[in-house]
Amino acid sequence: MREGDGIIHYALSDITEDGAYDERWLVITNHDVFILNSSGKELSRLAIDQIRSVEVHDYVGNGEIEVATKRGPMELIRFSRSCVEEFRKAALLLNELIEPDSQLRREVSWSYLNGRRTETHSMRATLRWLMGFLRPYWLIVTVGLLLSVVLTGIGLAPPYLIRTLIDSIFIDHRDDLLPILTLALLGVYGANTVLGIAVNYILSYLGQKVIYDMRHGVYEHLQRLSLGFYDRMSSGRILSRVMDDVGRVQWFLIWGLQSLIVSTLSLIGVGVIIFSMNWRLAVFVLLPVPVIAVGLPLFRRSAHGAYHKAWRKWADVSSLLVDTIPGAIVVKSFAREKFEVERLADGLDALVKANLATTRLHLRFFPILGFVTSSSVVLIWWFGSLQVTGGTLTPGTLIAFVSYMWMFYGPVQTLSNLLEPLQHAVTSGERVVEVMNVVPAIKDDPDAQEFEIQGHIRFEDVSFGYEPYIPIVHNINLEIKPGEVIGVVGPSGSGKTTLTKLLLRFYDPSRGRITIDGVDLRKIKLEAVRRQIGLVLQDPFLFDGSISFNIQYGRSDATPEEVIASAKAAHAHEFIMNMSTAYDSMVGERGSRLSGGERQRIAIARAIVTDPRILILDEATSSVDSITERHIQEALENLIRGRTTIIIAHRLSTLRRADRIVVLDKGRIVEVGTHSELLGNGGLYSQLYKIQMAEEAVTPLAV
Amino acid sequence: MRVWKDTAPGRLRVQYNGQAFEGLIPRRPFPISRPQFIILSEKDTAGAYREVLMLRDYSQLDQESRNALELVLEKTYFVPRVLRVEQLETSGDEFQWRILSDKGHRAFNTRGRRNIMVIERRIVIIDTSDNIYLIPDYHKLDQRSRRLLHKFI
Repeated sequence: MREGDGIIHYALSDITEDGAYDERWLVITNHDVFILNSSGKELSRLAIDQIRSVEVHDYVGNGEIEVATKRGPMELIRFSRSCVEEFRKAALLLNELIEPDSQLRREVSWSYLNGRRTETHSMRATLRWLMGFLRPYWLIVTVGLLLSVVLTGIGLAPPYLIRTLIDSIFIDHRDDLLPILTLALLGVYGANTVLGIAVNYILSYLGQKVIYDMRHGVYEHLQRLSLGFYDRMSSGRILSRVMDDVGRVQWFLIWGLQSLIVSTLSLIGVGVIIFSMNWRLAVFVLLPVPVIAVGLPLFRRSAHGAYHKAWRKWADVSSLLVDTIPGAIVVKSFAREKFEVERLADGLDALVKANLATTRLHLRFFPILGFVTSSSVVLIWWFGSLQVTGGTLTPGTLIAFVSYMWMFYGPVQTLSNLLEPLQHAVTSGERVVEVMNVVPAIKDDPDAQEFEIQGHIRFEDVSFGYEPYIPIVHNINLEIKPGEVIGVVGPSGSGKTTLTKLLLRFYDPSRGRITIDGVDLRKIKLEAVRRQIGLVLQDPFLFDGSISFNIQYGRSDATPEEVIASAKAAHAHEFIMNMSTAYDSMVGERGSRLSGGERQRIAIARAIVTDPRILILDEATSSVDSITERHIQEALENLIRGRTTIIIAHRLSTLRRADRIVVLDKGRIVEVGTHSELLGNGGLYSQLYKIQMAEEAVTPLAV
Repeated sequence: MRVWKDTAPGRLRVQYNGQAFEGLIPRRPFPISRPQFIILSEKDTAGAYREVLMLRDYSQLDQESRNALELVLEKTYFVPRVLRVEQLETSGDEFQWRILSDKGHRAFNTRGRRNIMVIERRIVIIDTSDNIYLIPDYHKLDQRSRRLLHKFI
């Protein structure tokens, strides 16, 4: 390494240049690129000055970074598909660095802004956080626990009473004790029932309260997190945390814990009783315990594989049905009914085999367990009977003993069975805590103010990237005056949508700043910003509710007249009134009951109702029929009127109408000007324009 | 505003603010949540509506006007009022209903949660054929009907 250089980036590959599995390091410094082997020895070095271009090639099972140098193309490094992401980033970075005036070379670090996370938390911290949910209900929890303990205690009484019954009444002929004993037994069972109901209800009540608190708390926290979080974690995973993980944690907190405590207490209680009764017999009781305690988890582990396989075979059959039954028209038109029946038969056959395998596994373990336990019982009967005939043990005691013995195995089994749910609960708990610990990256400054936006926007030397060193937009300098309509164009990936996300403050710029009416965006209250900037997306998202619910979403105090007026301006009123339930019609999940053009117009109406000062429009690229197209155009016209508007434009008509057009390429502004000016330039814009003209000439004319 | 029945079927004559209108058709933009909100339109030969008047709450009109309006609305919005729920059973996603309405007895099915809408004390029911039924105030129903409704909804 040269003097004064630092390591900017490094990546680890798992394939050597000869195609063997071994470590190879790619290290990038300010001026050079090094390839090192697993012990750090330098295998090759290339000066960045020598590199003219960097390309990533994707092959089957591997990939490579190829660089073009003054001496010709050469392979820089190979890697398996496992390292693709890492090396793509490295290639992007290298591409940055080979720019002659690259700023990155002079810098060493960019701050990582989006979504700092606290590092791994200990299990204890997770458990402590979970327990926190019980704290508000400590009284109920205590009562519930106490009652459970009493319940357990009462449960231990019956065998003792029966012992008295046999010894005192049958043997000693103390018939006078019979009524008392019977009543006592009745009383015990009655108390058992009543307490059982009480405990059950208390726990259920507690359970519902806790899960409400958890779900509410998690959802509330989720709403505070910035868009970056939602971008990084797919909706599916977030949903599973709120629904499944919280559920599993709650189940364990309420039922699992109680089971744990009660079983342990029973175990201790019964253990004490039988050992105090007759320690020799008690030893026999302990015999099957290791088998249960160790065997159950062992069984579970091997059964896990068998269950999983059976589940996969069932999923295969299920997906085959889901595939071929709705696809009946294809099956029939190609006359493949017989083929499909055979396919299903194969699937069913595999399923049957897998299910039988799990059954066999069951039969291999549980009967043996049963037999071991029963043998133990027989031993106890034999040994105990010897003691009874020998006079050292009363019959009643023996009978009571046997009853207690069964009460011993129950908790042992329960405890062994609790191990797995405990593990799952802890994992789920960690996943929930992980979400709760994410700090919202974008939040209000303590001195952020309320603000009435006029609409003068300035991007001052703004740069941003989701990952450090991989900027999506660079050095954006743009001034938009109030009321201006700006069209933004550029090839896909050039950073158009990113600009709008920055303006809405979904992310903060890595460098530079954005001001509105002269005030830094970060100094304005988030809620004020987002409320006054309207956003209409390419594929608008509608909620599962009525049309009127969706249109008023931005303003709950919108009057019905305002809703209708906005819908009229959005050219949606006509098609809405043609529906039998008009504005009260349900749009279905994500608005699925409406067509694309209808959804667009409702989204536009939604934006109109909020009367935003600044409008951001991401034009839909999908083609609709000319009539709908015209409606949407006019709707947009009504929306844009008088507002500072930024349109990510695709339609020629939009471009012609814009006051100015900004052309982006690879994250930089390359051209700015009016439509005619830019056409005259003969640059990127005029190229894109000609392509778009050709495309629009073939738009369907369905009337 | 005053409303009269027009000569053509399903149309109304309206006098408002000194102006007279003819051949207007009343429509409800919020048939379920705000049934008293009315839009009066003209319909041209091509079938397109041209809106003329908007009335926020027609119950503010005089009795005669209200009757005239409701007579026409009756045709375009046929919504029987449920007087009694005689039977309500479910098999999974579908509900089987048998009711007594102010138009007579009726049996129908509903599918899905969204087709039984509870808005405060009103319940709007949309059956599988898109017919609409209304329970204006479910508190006012008899014991049995209320019990049946409460079981599921």
